[in-house]
Amino acid sequence: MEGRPLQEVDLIERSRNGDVVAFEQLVRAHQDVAIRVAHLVVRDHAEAEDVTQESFVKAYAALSGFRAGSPFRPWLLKIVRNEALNRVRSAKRRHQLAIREASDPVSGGAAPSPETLVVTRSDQATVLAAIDALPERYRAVLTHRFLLEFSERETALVLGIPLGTVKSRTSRGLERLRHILGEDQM
Amino acid sequence: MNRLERTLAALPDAVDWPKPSEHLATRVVSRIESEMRPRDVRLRRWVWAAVGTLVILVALIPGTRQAVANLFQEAGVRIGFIQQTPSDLGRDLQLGDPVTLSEAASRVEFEVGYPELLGPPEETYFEAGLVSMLWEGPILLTQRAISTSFGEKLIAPDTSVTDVQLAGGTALWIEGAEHSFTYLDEQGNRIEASARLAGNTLLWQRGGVDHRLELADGLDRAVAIAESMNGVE
Repeated sequence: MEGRPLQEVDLIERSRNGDVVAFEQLVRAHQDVAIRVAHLVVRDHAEAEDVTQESFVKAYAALSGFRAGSPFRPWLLKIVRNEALNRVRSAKRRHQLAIREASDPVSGGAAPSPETLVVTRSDQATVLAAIDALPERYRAVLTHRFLLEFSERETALVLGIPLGTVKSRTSRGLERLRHILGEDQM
Repeated sequence: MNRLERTLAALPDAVDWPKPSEHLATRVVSRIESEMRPRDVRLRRWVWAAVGTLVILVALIPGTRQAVANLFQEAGVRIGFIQQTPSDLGRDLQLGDPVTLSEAASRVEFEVGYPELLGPPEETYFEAGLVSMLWEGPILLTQRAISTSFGEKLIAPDTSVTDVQLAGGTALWIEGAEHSFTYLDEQGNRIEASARLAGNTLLWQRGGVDHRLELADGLDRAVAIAESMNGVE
């Protein structure tokens, strides 16, 4: 991983100068997280792919407005999220977030962590449904913090809200989750 | 670590996430290559370069100058005629934060609209009471509430300014060389980071909103775009 930021800076600079091959590398580096950000909004795998593709095209067109030296990933993911939000403005129906089928292998084939071992699929589904049922202001923060594992800072940048708001919504959102799930059960 | 925390820690791997198709990156590249024609790319580069190289002074005909000043005064906008614009003006468009249309609409008191002729904007930005929308072209539309603050339009030589009749009021058409825009906010601070696209500009007011449309096209198209304004839901 060492030297990666430098390489990214270089790829961004080359992309800004019209080098689409360099931009393709940026797409490949960020497409996994981008499609997840899109999915959190559109809740549909095919639609999320479509949003991601569209967002990268728009990001390329907007690159000249990207401030050199500022973090690239949140800038990009904000474009993805806005594109996704624009898509769902008209769509009324929203699917719920789902847990993978039990037969799916753990991603990357890594051994499950000790925490994972003592967590049942049923627990996961319960907590995920509870997060999904929260008001949007808490849901957005909790999904980015805990499902995408973003830092508070990156969450703030992607959602376009102050860092302090991320902190307070995280804490209030967790409070609500505990309340919904019941102290004794969780 | 309690059970909720343990469950949260395990969730990222458990969610049924979509995975990008193997063609996603190549599709993005081929779309960029096919949709952004060389002319567009060149134009974009020219525009970005042009906004960084502003401007010298004013040499308007005295009569026009007065007419312009009067019109802007009525519109709560002041035109300044100066010897030289700040050289660091407008390195970038700096339109603010990218937002959705509905987010933009929720952040301002006035009714945000877009021209039906162009359809919803490709990009929307918000900063300090200014809602900016961009379309391919490039075409830029900026909206803000008419307030006690006023704008100074810094106008370059070889620029003509004319009164234009729009359905529902008067507009001002500025055509010719590049010009830059700065304005004063409610506290009287000079906002210079808001230099906009070089090109032709149509300015008008409607429904308590200042509109500024900037584009490379001529007056007829600008008027058609302006008259197709509609409110965002």
